[in-house]
Amino acid sequence: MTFKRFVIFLAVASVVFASIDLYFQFVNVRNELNEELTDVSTVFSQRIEGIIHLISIMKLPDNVTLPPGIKGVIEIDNEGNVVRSYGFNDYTKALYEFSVMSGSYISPLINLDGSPAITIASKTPSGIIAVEIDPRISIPDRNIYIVDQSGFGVNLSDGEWKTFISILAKNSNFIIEWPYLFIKDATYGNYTLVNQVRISSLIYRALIASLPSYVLIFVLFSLTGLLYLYLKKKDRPIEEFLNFLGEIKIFSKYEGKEDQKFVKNYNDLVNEWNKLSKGYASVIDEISQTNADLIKFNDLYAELPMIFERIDSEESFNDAIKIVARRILDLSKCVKGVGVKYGQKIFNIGTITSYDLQNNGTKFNLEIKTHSNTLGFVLDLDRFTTTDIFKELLISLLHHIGSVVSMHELREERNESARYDPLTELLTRQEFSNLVFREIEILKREQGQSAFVLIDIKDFREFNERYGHFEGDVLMKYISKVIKNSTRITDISCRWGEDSFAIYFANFRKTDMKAKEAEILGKIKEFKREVNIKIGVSYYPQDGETFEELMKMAEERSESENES
Amino acid sequence: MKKYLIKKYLIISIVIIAIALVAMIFFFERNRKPVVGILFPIDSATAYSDRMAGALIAIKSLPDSVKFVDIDFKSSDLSTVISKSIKSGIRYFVTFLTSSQASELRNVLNGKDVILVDSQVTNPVVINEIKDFYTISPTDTIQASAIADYIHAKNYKNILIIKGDQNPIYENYLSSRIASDLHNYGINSVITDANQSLNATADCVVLVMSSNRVIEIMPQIRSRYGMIPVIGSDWTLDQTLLNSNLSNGMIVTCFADLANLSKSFKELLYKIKMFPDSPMLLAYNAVIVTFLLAENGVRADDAEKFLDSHAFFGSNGEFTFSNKSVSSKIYFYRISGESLTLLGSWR
Repeated sequence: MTFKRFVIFLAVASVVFASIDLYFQFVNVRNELNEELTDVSTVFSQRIEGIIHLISIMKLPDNVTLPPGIKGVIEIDNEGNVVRSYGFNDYTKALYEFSVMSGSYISPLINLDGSPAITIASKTPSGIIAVEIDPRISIPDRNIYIVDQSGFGVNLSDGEWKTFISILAKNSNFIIEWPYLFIKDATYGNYTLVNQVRISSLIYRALIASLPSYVLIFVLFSLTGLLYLYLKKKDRPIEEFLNFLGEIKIFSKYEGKEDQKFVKNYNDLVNEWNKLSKGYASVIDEISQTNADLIKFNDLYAELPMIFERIDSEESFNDAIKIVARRILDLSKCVKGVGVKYGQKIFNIGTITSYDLQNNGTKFNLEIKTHSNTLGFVLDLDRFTTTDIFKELLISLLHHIGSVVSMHELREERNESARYDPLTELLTRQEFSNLVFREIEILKREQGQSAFVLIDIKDFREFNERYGHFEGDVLMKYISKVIKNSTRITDISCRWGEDSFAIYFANFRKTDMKAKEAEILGKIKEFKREVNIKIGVSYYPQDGETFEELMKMAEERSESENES
Repeated sequence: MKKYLIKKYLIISIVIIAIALVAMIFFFERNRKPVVGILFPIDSATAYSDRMAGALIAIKSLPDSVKFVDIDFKSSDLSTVISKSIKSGIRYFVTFLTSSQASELRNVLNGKDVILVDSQVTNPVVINEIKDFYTISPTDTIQASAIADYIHAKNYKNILIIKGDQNPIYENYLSSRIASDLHNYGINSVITDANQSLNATADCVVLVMSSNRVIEIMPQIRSRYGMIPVIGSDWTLDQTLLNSNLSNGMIVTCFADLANLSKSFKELLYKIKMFPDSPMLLAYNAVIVTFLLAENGVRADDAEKFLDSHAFFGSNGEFTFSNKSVSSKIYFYRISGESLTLLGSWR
């Protein structure tokens, strides 16, 4: 044991001892005050009982000289009528009724000419006799209040009024209402005595009472210091004194011997080794976990192209995105929720809600630009179990998903472009045929009517030779523009042949066709070069009921127009 | 190395102590009970013993979840005492004020997040003027209608209304309101001050004053008008009136049904050797209402909504709030000797 340790032990023991002692002194002082209050209460109750006894046996003479302390006296007969009264002003219904019921009555406090008074009544053989007295008794240096049952109190020494409702309402006899401690005595008759003491003065008294303990501690410290100095002066090693202390059982557990020190060092080394082993094991665990993650990631990498290859409609694309979200969620327990936003579409699974997808909150989110759209991911990752490696792998995977989606978009775009003629941006003949074939089936069911128009550029080869192929392309584009501007959104148009166009006018009456024909021709004639156009029109159902019949009729009419 | 260790342990110790302190503060703050201040005047001390008894019985019957504190004041220091209490953190108050005293609190209460529930203020102007002020009594408007209806039913023709001078806001408003309601019935009425001579012709007298003034003026009324009916407003009725022969036969309005009390309430009263009266029962109700406001942590802005949407069970059964005052019946009692006889109730 070192001397420093001994001093620390001494100091801690002293503080604990002083605190316990102070607490007990505080309780002692409080109990002393309570005893004082009980003594005052006894004196007070004896006084009241004495008065009750006195008036229960007294008979009032015709003339009375009131003794000091008695403010008034009254005699009431058994019917409640006043027989005699000397200076008594507060005869109440309660006085009579409660005296009859209980044999005696003590009133609440009253304020009689500025000083407190109480009424004490007792039943006598001839009726009731009551006296009014000043309840105050001289108790110097004490803040004791007499409190009636309504909660009003008056100081026994100086007559100061105060309310004690919250004090009376509590069951405890010791009530702290900062900065006071209220000590309450048992209720006697109609009164409770309450001692109001400042808590600071209580602590002060307790500190004074604890003084011997502090002196003892001081002496102990002084002796220790003196012993230290003595041993030093005599050139005797302090260790001798400390060894002596070490032999005392209570200190021995704080100080180990040499062999114990060796064991302790050995134990420390073992602990250190254990820590290192644990660290190594946790690294191995981490690597295994990463490997397992990698396998799952690889599986998903392999699966992704297959998922997106199967897509043939918008619905199956949505399903593909859902499958991808599900697979990401299944990657690891640390992924608690996945949200995917693609254009206006939103998919969410696990703890991610559509709110998380619309608001950039605290969750992990990543936006990837695809070929023609944006693919957004919001992931709820467990902040304690998600490793940095996993997060990096995940980001890489999400970018890969972005690439796969881009490829899908490109494929879609390519399929879309096959439907249109690249020069005129009108439908191809094949696409036109498919659509119109379907439209005719609908017309049959609905018994509607429609028109087919075939527009052919006459001598287009000569036009190309005269003005060049570039000008020929310009003319084709111009006519397609005229067709687009002259048709409704429900009409279908296409590039029919190398130098011809076809238009299907849905629900179009024959009577309106002449004007439409003239409109189209008029606009084409406005081209900067001279252009010769042939137009043939056929009508459903007048000219045929199949696509082939109708187109054939339109071609024939176009040719006949040429002939004419 | 050693220095580094000492520094490390010192920082750890400071952090632990700081955490412990914060936890203690948090714990005490969380468990701190809401405080309700009960204001009683000590300059007129024992005149309030019935209200105090009502408050005390209420507190004893309530759970310990709200802390009640006594706040003593002298009538001249009312505003200062309330201001100090608000500064010390009290947000709920129970008071037993007159309408005139309450009107002085306008500047003290408005704009503060405190709620004051009074048991006996009846003036509707005062009640509406002070934002977070509520009363357990019905308003003077209702009481005036009840008195006028009673007089009309009894077919009295000439009414002398005598008003006191201790609570001018209450006395002026209620007396003029009664006169106005009587006028609507075509009944003549004259308002006079208590200190003026009684010259008017009357077959019924209405007294709007305190019980002390009633005791002073009754001999004059009896000598000038004989045994004509005398009706006293709610403020006239307290123990003083019951203990005096001068008030025998007088009719008084009251905001509580004194016969309809719970058994436990009566037993508690018997223990403390007191008889029930209206101020006592209203004081009980005021404490109950304030307790519920405090226990539920109701803020001043939500208090009216809270009170309007709840029914309360008080000394006299269930009661509700409407427009910051209690909607209760007005009872008419006749003083017979030292007891009260119920004549009827008005709503």
